[in-house]
Amino acid sequence: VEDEGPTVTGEQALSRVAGRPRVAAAATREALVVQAFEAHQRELMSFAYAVTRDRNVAEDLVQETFLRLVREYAAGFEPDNTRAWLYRVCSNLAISRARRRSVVDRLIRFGASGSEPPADVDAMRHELSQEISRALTIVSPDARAALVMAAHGFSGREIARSIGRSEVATRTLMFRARERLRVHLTSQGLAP
Amino acid sequence: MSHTSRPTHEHPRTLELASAALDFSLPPDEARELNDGLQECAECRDRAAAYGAQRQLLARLPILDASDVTRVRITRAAAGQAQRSPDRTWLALLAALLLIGGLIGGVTVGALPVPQLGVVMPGQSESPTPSQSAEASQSAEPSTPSLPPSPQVGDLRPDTIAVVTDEGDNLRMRSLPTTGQESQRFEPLLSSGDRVFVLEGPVAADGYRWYHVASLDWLPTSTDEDVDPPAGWIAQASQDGKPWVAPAEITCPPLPLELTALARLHPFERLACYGDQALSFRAYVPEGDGSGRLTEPVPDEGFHWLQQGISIMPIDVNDDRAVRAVTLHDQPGSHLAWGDIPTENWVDVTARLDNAAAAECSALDDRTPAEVWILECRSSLVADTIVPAAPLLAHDALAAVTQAGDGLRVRSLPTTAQESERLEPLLSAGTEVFIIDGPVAADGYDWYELIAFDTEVEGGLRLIGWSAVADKESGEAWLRPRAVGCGSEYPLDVNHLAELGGGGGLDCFGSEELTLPAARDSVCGEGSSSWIVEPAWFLLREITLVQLGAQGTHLTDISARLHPEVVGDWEDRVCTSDYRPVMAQVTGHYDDPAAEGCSIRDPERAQPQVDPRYAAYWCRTAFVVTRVERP
Repeated sequence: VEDEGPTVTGEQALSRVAGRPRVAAAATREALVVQAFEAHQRELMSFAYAVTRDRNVAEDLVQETFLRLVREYAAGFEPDNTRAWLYRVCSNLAISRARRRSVVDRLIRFGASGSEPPADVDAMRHELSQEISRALTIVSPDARAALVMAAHGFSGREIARSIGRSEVATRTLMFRARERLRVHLTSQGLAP
Repeated sequence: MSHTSRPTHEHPRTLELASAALDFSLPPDEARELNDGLQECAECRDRAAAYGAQRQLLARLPILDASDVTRVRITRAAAGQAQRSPDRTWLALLAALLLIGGLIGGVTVGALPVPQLGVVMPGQSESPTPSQSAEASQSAEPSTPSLPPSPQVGDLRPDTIAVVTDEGDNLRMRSLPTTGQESQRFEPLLSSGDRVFVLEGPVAADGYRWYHVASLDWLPTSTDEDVDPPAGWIAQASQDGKPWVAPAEITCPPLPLELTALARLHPFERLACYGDQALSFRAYVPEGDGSGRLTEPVPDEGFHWLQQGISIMPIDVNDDRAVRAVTLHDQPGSHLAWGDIPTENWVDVTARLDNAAAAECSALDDRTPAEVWILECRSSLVADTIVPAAPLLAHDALAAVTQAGDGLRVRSLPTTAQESERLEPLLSAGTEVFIIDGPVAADGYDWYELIAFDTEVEGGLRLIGWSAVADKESGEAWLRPRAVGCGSEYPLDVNHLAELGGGGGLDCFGSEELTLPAARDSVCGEGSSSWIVEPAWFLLREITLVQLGAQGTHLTDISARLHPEVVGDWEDRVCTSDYRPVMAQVTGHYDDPAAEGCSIRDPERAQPQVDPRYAAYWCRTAFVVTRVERP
């Protein structure tokens, strides 16, 4: 019944069956995790900070993300694309977390009130990046994650997968967020 | 060809495509459409350039490094130095929830109480306790071989739940059933209302009746926590018979059981309710990223047994406002091939708690009390049988197209027969839909009527029709429940409702009365529309509810409707630059009774009206404000 659903090849069907691990030896696993940490911690921290606007929360999210990678390896799985996997887990954690009061409070404190983030955010050197970072809080957490992932070079398809939306919905989400951000940046005299 | 430049408001599609082109490979027809649109509209070209520049700006956001603490922790974890302790098993269960929470919004780990369990060693100063502390006194009489009289509330029985009474507030847990020096005093103290699972007892000592218990109302807060769930000995009553702990009344859902009912219970409550009875239910196996799905044989001893499992969910994943997953474990020794159980599908499960092998459970470190570990194993759900089952979706609930369902066809009728029109477009994997009717069995398929609320069709309306839920040959699901994370643990505010969207709000709350803090935004424009809606107030009394930040900043907003019975200044149309919204307590609901008869039509076209199914959906998903109370 060709039009009632997609036709899939046997190989595609097989690839969808969950739990086909590629088990690495313990020593290799350790090396892979450390390698992944060194390769991606910085961009993931920046990503998490951009989404949460809180250094401590970002640190928590990144730590939890890599701990999950450790568990993933320990369980015998190796993500096909480690970078995309890390962003997906981190954005999921960030979006989930943003739904809770604690983060809303933080947004109010650091975003809306114009207060500065903690002093230990030593990388907040550029006024412009501060303003951009603050401006991001006007869009929803998943839109924020999507826009920052796009800036980090991810494709729309990868972004959609990360934030758990369809590609169509992601397109719409990102368009609306960009438009909203554009209006805001223009009103603040920060339009590019 | 010459082009007259037209303003951007005439090119919303061009702008959307310009944004999409930054992230997606546009198909040739859309690329052409974009190109044509940009040629026609100079402002659109500027706007497209602005989107690109915006992306470059975002690439210049602050660069941060993870701290050394994180670096060391990850390195140690990778090296296997952070051995799994029992609390990690709790975390594994939580992680399963959180993994699904990535889709729907997570669990309230952060909102749970965080007792710091510690041991006050003999000779150390004891932590301050209120004068009414329900501590078995150290100056009590020497232990006696006979039990003191049972308090009026009666004996506690092993494998039941008990609760700390008001008189038992600040009840001390100890390592041994005695007030002697050798019995370590644990913290935190138990509070009135705290529940405990009774492991064994009573034991008579020092004039008290002692019970060995484990706390229910405790969960670790993060992977940083390295403490165990509290377990120890408590005295049931004061020496003069005032009860400090009493049997708790728990409502055990009757058999046959729905997984929703089981999921609502604390794991220890499940054990108290059902022991090792066979439990049968239908469950949904959500998409996962492989965690906990081992295909390698693992040792049966120790915690390894609990490492092997899958998360299963109730059919109505948004029931009770929280997505609740239950971890289903394999029989020790059977090495079920979990990997062969396809995700995004339904299963009929027969399972039991209190597996006999639980008695052999042990932790890998000697710091963990064995009884805690055994109790965790006993309260784990272990599968007898898992059989693939027919997909089943809930009504008035969100669903999404599965990976297997990519390219799903929507038809005008629940049949493949000629009279059933094939609607366009096909739905891609991940597309969210709202289920309004079904299932209807026809032509070997189970059909559901759905609204693809993000999928536009001609006239700006949404695709609506019938889709088959699964492949009739393989049973592979094409639609799955879409969890939105309506958890009651989230603060009920405009932000949360905005996150849920109208469909999610209706799915989560139905017609329940909701009260939340919100302000009304200014109302500009004439309120005219090219549509005619009945009842008219669904259109004419539209307002914008906003969530304000501490400094009055507009944070989030949702569209809402002001019920006709609400009168006062919220009805006024205010459109001045000095308008300052003020937060109020707003009460309202989705699924207003008037929504069922909603109709929408275009006055310029006598027929057809907007599909009444979509009209009803449009009105039902509106949040209707019925009361406004100023602070």
